[in-house]
Amino acid sequence: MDLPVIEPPIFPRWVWIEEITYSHIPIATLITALMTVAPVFEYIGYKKNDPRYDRLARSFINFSLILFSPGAALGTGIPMWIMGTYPEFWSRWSNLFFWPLIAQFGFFIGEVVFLFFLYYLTWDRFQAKKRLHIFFGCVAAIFGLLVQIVWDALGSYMLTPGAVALPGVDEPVAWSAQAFFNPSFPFLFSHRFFGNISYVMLLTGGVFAIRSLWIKDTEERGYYNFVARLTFTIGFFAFFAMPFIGWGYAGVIKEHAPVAFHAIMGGHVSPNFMVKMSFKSLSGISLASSHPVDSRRAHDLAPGLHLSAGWFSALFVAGCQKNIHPGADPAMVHVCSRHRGICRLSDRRFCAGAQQKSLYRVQGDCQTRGY
Amino acid sequence: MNPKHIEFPVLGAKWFIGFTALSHTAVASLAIGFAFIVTIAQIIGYLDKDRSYDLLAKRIQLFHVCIYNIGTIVAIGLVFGLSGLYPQFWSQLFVHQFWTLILEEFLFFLLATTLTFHYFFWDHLWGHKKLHIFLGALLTPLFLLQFYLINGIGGFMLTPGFQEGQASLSQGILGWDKQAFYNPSFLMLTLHRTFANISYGGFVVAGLCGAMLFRPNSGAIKACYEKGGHLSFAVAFIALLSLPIVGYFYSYVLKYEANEAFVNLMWGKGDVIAGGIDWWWIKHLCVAGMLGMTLTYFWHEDTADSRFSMPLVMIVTIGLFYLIFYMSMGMIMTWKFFWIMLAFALIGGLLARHLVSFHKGSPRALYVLVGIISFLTVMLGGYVREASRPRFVNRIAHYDKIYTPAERAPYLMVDVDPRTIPPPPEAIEKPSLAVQLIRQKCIGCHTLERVRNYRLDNWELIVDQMRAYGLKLATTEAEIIITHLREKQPY
Repeated sequence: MDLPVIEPPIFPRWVWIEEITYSHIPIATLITALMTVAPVFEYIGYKKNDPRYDRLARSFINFSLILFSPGAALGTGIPMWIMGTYPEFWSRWSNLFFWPLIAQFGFFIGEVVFLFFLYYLTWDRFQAKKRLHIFFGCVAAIFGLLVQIVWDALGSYMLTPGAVALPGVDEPVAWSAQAFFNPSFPFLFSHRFFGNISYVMLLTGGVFAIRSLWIKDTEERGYYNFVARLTFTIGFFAFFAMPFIGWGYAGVIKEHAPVAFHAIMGGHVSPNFMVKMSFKSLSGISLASSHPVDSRRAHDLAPGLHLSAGWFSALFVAGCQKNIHPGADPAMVHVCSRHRGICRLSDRRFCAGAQQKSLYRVQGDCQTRGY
Repeated sequence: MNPKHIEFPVLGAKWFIGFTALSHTAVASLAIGFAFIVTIAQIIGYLDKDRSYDLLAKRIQLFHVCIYNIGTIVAIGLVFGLSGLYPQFWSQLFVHQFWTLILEEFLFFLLATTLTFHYFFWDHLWGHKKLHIFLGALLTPLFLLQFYLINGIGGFMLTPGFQEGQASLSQGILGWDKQAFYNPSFLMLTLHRTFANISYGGFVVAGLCGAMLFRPNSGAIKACYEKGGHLSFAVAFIALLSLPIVGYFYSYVLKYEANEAFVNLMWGKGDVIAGGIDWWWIKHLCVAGMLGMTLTYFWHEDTADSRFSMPLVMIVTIGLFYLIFYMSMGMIMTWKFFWIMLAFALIGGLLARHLVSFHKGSPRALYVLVGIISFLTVMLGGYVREASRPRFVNRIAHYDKIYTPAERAPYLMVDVDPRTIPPPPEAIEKPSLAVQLIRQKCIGCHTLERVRNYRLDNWELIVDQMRAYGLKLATTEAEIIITHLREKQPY
């Protein structure tokens, strides 16, 4: 007896895993970001005695709750698919990270209890105890971020395992600080944190802006104009942090996962990366040029600064492309093409081993292993 | 090689899984009952043009949305716990029934979305009430379908069915195994859980309504909770009545298909006894007490809405029926069982009467008490069922021998054509062709127990009859089966 893998129909296994994961990520990031900013807006509203912030925070939480159950259900599908299609990998991976997974379960419970029962359901009842209510919101957000931290650590380990190899199925390690706090973890987390805020704030800003066009009631229209500007501005600033963190992230990947780095920069996934960066530069330019110019608004930037920021983003992206792309290394490309995905366990361990070796030695190592 | 495994501190692996599984059961079992009662309340509210039923349905659904996520997350914790603490068992079971679990996961997503939309778009769909009720009504069959899938796997763990299921598991059936899914106890487990979930959900809703009636409310809100209590208590009571009967047949199946579990339950052995207490008995005491309380409630209930009350003759008939039922149980088991159950039913009835009169005719305290007892009953039922079951697979069995043999290691986690993977070593001796045919063909319509119990020797006639009934069997296969059965060889 053994555990042969399940071969799903139509697409290969990795496509199924990828699609189920991608269906979960946009929802999960939306919820985490909305949960993070909602108590902040509520606090500002409380301090400024401005009900618009309170209304905005509440609408964020309401929307999070609508998305929460479907998002959680999709999230449950990820381990289930991996267990069936990559049972060996899952066994070994959960052997290494058993306690983080259990801790994540506890954080998730905490998130739901605080978000649903102590934050959402008590919104009206705790009007007189606003500080306590905001505190509950903050705790819910912290739990949400802790869940994200766990998954980012576990996810980043798959890219940059450092010196920690995945244990065997009969080696129940259960916890490894070195694996958890692996080289790319802080970069992945900070990149995702700002990415979430940026994505969600810009998205909601757009939704509010469209909504304001449809509403005829002047007061309502004023509210939607206000929240559109507010969220747009926050999204803009969060967006601005991304290339800096991304640059550091790329540096870590270059050092600790050279095969993956080459795959991104010149290998089989480089077209995806180029498309992404093109979108990013276009977004930066659009953001800078379309940001509402109204000097009476305290949170508006000067138009010159908008344009400078946008152009700087674009130049930064172009500069990064030129500087960090190492140029074609036929031997390395050959290795990459043989490994195809860079997303398999063997490659990751191989990348970890590459940390203190030259690229050619990596190739030799690869050949020695019979890949 | 002595394989190591992860230890869970303080609780230990077994109790951690048990605790997590029961926490999930406590919440997940509410789903069907909640969805069912929400739909009924919405329909009544729509037909009667009574807003209070709609308000009640909305409040139940809000509570449902909130606890649903708790159930989801505890289920995720259970999955992580099992994969870390019982990796061999979990991986085997997962690969064995992968498509069942994936379908269950798909339903999970569908349910989460439908439930969320049903609650959060309540007011938006006010002008499309029929559509909204239909959306809510979809939840009950979807929840039922989802938990039927889980029952197939849960039932298999208790009654794999004369080793056929176990054999198919160890032979590495991938993704879907009909024989294992429709195992001997699947039907009884499903029936028992269906009615139990409706009953449990109904009593919990009544309990929540009762708790809300303790709070100072306006007249309209109070009326809403009173109606909710009557409605859900009546629904729960009707579902409760079926449970001892279904439970009897369930135990009958266990007697033949999982004898060790049956003995553990009936004689109080193994983990069924914990802390010196027989928890199976405690569960039955709860059921008897609930029967006494609910019958007394309907006897004395004076509700304006006659739809949720019962004529006295019906209550007496039900009471007599269950008296006879428990007497026959006493004859089968022990008279001690009968007398103690009768005593608890009477105590329950007296307590119900006292609570109603103490609260000046309001059954609010009774609702709360029965809600709590129904919760305990579900927990104890889940616990004793799992505790009675002999251990399915050792925590890390055969890892060193078959799970990661060195010659197969290069193929693990690599996208290779599965046909190129060398065949796994034989884990068990393959049964003879005759045995395989008997197991595969006969079990399509009846259990092998029925074949074993047949005393005559006219197998040729019997096999011909089966073929006439529609059994697809080649003549050579029929001859092999007949010869094997005539020689009274084991199968």
